[in-house]
Amino acid sequence: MAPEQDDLQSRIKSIIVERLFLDVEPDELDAGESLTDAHGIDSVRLFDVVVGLEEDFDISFEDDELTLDNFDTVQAITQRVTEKQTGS
Amino acid sequence: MTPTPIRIVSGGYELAATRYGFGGRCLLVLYPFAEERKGVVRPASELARRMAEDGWNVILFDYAGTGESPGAFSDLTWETLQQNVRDALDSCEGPVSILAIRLGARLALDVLSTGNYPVQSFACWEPVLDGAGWLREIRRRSRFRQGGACDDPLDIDGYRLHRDLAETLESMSGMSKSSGAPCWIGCVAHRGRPTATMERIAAHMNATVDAVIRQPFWLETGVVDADVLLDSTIDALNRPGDPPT
Repeated sequence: MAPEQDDLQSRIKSIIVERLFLDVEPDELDAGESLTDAHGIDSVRLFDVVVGLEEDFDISFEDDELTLDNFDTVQAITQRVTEKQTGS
Repeated sequence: MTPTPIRIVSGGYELAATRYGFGGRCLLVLYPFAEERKGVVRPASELARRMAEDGWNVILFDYAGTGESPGAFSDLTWETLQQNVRDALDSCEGPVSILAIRLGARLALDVLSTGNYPVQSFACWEPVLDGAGWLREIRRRSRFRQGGACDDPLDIDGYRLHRDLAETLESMSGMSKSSGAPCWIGCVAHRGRPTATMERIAAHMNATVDAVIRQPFWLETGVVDADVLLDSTIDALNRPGDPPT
């Protein structure tokens, strides 16, 4: 992974831990694991991560992007944020 | 401490209302709306029980069409809600303190701006003043939960909004008029401090803020451990001769 992608993923992990009040260190999050399955987070709470990403990265997700698949793993979130930042 | 049913008649309905304690200073609790109400009933009841033991009388009630009160949620308008609050305030004897939760804060401020109520102090839990922003977040959260399936703008998490209420909320952007009463805010914290939104609201209301680090209680439907929030609220409202400033 490129260093800038590594930094982005670390930042995203911190946002996830903070917004979901997880009792783990950000580095302990497995990028590929499902947040809902691994940490018992329901979709109502996972939306707080969406809000956190929008605030911290000054981006905005469209309504049709608001699906669980897009935000259930660190990997998926990193991809969504990268797309927003690059406009792709 | 066992709550006692009390009678609050508003708009032709007898609202479900209970009082904890007798005599002493009165605290009126204003709930949030829709799904958010579920998450705060338990901590609000626990707060009422503890404050009654401190000599307060605390009134909890459901707006018409919500909780145990008669009426249909889909008939609710902002005017109905304001009238419910006015009638609840009228049921309080002497000076009153208000604990307003989430959108209950905007409702309280709108009511207080229309009359001369003897409000001694004003406390809020995670207040919402921007009705449009609140409605947008609820709709997006609902859409997210349902996997993008909800396209009905009047349906929020299964609660059907009256068109007038939806339009009123949509037009309710920005801040409302401050109550003028000393104000205290209890809120959840990210990174150990209030969110930027909460800091803006606190500045607008000239309020003291206690950032309580825990999960957003209004999103939880199980047993909520809100002890720190309750302790902070009781401390703020009990400050002798100097209600929360």
